[in-house]
Amino acid sequence: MEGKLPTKMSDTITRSTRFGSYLRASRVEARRSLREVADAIGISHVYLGEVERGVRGPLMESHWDGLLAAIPGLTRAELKRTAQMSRALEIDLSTAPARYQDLAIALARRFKRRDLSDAELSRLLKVLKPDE
Amino acid sequence: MSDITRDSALMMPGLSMACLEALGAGVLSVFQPSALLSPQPLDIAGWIDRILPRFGVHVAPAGESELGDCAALTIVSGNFECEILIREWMWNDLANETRPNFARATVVHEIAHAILHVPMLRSGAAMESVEPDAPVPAFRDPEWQAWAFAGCILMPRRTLTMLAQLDTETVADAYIVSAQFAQAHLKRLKIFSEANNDVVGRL
Repeated sequence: MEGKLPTKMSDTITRSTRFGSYLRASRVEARRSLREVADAIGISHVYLGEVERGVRGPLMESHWDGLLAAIPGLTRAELKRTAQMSRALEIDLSTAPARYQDLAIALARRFKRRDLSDAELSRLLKVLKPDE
Repeated sequence: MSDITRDSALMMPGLSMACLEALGAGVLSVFQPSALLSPQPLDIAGWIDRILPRFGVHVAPAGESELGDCAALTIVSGNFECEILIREWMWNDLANETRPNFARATVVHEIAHAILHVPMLRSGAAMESVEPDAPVPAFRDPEWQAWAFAGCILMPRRTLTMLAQLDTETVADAYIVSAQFAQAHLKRLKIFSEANNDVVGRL
């Protein structure tokens, strides 16, 4: 048996989504198995695992009622919030004024480079979200 | 995903069978203490569902896009967790087959990697890389270590001594492993002789 099929170790850090991480953490906390939850909401075990690992995006909202019933502690508000944070964001710049276009492109570039300092992030967020 | 053994082979710090046996007993004392009291098959499906996730080890079925041509893959994940991905048929065997020998052994082999090697990969601790064809002493080979450790977890010496007979079939039946894996483990424990095809020592 040993060594007949290859197995591997990988040092690649997986990239989970907020939605997937929230779902898994809640499931483990509630002591529900992957098998139980996938069966309860009627999706394959492989698919649910892929959602949790971030290989796939958030589950469609049509599955959320099933999730909420299967995993105590899960909330619709947090599912919605983490789903929004786990999806690509598209902005239509075509009709925006030139300076708004500049702002969006500059922000997108810096977001991609992840090179804003904590202080810069704080200042930007204070301007963009003054009430929070 | 990168394969850490693609361009080179790794040499881990050496581990003796005595060390692996002691570690195995430690794992069982936490995960399934009853397995140290009498010969019994481990509840691998139960470990996957109820125990391992609490320790940050997540076993899940995966498709070819993630596994490629592998039967199983252990991946470092986050700050302290790891993913063990296995073929879907193995996942199904664990729930539906009466003797899922291969699936059980493979999962425990990957758990062995998760315990012995993932912390070292994460920390970049002292590991040597050698050319793929370079000889690596068994006790420093991560694959040998993981198989030997899996044997110690699945078939602890402490309960082997309680079996009425110590032939491979009896061991295989008692712990739900293949006769081949049972034999390999008995050889590592130096209580099986290939020449005589029988037990040569006492525990």
